[in-house]
Amino acid sequence: MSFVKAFLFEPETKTFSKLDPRTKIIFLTFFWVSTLLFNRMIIQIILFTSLVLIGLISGFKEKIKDMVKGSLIFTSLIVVINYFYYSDVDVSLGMGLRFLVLMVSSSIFFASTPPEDLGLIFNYFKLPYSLSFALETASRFIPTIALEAQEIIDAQRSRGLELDKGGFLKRIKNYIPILIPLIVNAVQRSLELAESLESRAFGASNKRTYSKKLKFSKLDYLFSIGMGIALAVMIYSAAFLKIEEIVTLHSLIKVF
Amino acid sequence: MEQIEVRNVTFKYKGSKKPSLKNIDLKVKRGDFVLIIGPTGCGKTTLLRTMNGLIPHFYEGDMTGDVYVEGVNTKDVKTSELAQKVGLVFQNPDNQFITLNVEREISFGLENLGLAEEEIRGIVRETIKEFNLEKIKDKPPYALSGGEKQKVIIAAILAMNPDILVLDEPTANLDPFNARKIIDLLHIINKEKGKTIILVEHRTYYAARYANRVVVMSKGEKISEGSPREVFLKEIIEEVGVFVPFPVKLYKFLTLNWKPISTVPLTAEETFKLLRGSNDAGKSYPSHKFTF
Amino acid sequence: MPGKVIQVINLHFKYSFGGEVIKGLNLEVEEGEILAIIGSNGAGKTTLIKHLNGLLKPTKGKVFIYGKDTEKHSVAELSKIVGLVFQNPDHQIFAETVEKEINFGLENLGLDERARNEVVDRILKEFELEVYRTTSPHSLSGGEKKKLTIASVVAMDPKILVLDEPTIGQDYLQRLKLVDLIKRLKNEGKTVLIVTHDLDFLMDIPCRVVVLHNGIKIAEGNREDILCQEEILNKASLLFPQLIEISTKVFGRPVWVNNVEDLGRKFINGVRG
Repeated sequence: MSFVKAFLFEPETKTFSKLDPRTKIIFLTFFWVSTLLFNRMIIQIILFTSLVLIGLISGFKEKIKDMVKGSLIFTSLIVVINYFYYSDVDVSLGMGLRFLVLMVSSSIFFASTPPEDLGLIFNYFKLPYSLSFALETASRFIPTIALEAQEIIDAQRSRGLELDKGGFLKRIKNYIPILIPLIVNAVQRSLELAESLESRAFGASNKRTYSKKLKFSKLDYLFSIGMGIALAVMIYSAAFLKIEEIVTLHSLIKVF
Repeated sequence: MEQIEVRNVTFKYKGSKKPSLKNIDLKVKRGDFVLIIGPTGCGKTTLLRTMNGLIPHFYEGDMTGDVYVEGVNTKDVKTSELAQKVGLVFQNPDNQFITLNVEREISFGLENLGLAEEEIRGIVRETIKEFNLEKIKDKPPYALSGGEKQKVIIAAILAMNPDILVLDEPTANLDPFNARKIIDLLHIINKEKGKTIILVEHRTYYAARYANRVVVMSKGEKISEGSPREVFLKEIIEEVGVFVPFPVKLYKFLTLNWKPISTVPLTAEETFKLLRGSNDAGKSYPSHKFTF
Repeated sequence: MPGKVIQVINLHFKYSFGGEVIKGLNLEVEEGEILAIIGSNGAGKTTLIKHLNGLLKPTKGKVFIYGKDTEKHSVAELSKIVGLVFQNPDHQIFAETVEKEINFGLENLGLDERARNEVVDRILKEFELEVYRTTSPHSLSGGEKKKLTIASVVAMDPKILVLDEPTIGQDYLQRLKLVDLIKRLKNEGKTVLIVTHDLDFLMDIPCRVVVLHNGIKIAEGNREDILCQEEILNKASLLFPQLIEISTKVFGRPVWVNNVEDLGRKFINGVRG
């Protein structure tokens, strides 16, 4: 659950959340592109550290914790598989860290961007509204469904159901009394939601408007320009300096 | 032609054996407050769905007869277009609250209509003020009580300025305190904004006092219609399983066991005045005042 | 202590998120009584009853069920004694048929097939659900669903039955049936707890009443007494039952009446002096 939770928007207002969504897109682009450009652990450590720093300063400590905790198993899996493939500790750890950078940067992005702002960005890039609407609805209903799941679990446990009893197959079977009500309610909910959408003129006009406007503040310029320069440096060093060949963990050890 | 005319409508949902509505005729005048009552499964919800086009556009089935809303046959226009004439509010506030905060919930429908940004912001500001939502305007739905959510949804629907508000058991999930607040709010919307209200409601004691007309349904048919003071006196009401407000029950008991009383009371206040011989009963509303 | 089937001692509870929901609650329930726990949404009613079968464990304080400390027993064990019926039937029903729905709890109890069949037959008859035996529970009406959820918990034969907001979403006829059902369960010797904000419902059920507000008990007493105290009810964001609202107007002060006829008679007697 902590994995899903890490992607949910946090309604509390933080300075980072107030940035223009386009700035946050630049932020996201920087980390995604940079992390994908390099394989070596040292660069990934630098990226991950700076990402965590930005996250901590912006007040996303809990999100980062949730995300790292939630993706721990998958990260270890990536490290192990890569090790078998390359037999190189440096690269395989780098790959694991890359996964963390991708996940944590995305979670900070989604946690700080109100789903309605996603609509604005989608609109800005001329992407269909239905896409951002789907994302908005997901962030709206995931907490509701999580609460409902808890109620269902409580109701069935009150009828003597023991979830962690029996062997592997029995345990899977134990979840049927939870899953069926969850699915039935989800279907019911989507029907009611569809009715509500009709009553709110959803899809009535082709020229949907947005009451909020995109606006770049001073902080936005500062942040975006900074991130832009950093991104250019990253691309330049990857393409021309072949920095990874120079700055590997081994080379660093040799220097000292 | 009246504001809403349901003409001899019969409707059977796809896959069901029996029709949910049988030969329903109903006329609703501008400014009416119509209370629709009947036991569960009597077809009340289905009737409401015909009024904003969810039937036949959204729900499949066999429909005969026509429904006209402000002169337009609902078969000829999309539900989303009808939404500007008829606002529909449902039972479960959780599944109607579409967005992540109150302010945005109000602007959502207006954005769908494609209004100009400035105009939307103006309407949202006004609506928040009118419904006294300042304190909660930035709150997400899970930080609101059921009553608050339902109120926000009513506000969001009214922001789109429909002439008619149709509500399907809006208080079913609420406690009596909040249910009463919502029903009182509907009365204010009806009186002060002149909106037509069509309300399906089990809490007849709280709703009857504000209705100028009551429609009783059972098994898909309309079995009675008239002013609340007439309709609730009929024996058939309790037989089909509708709760008769206590003042009416008391009236029946007293006229039988004591002496005739001039008017049928609907509220505690009216009961008191009638029993004390005051003749302005029937006009007054309960002294019970609520603030949102 | 003899006779006390539920003992809640200085209960405090705090969810991992947010503040304290229950703040030092004491409660005792006697065998065979009907107790109504009333309060508005958010008063802590549901949190309280989730302690009775151990779904929640106290942050501080103790809960004893027939002398058993809920912290030392599993939910599965406690649910043999305390049957909890949740508010929304759709959060519970899942089986393909009504029969199987009732069977579920019995399987969890570990009953053999013959014993299960016996109970299912008896419960279907008692709850007048025989016609639906092989029907999908999802296709039942709201009232029938509610009845089925109660039936499937009663089938497990708990000594204490707890109903969370039983009247939510129920129409007039269904409510009358619920009244009969609760009275019948009491006659069978069950202890029944009704958690509700619907005070009109209690007009038909003789019971003791506990008023909850913001996680503490603000009043306790006979139904006839508590439901006539406007100050207490207002404090808990509750309304007078409709009949009491009328009696208050008619007599100038809250007067307990059992029903409309009682109100009418009391009025006529008053007029005649």
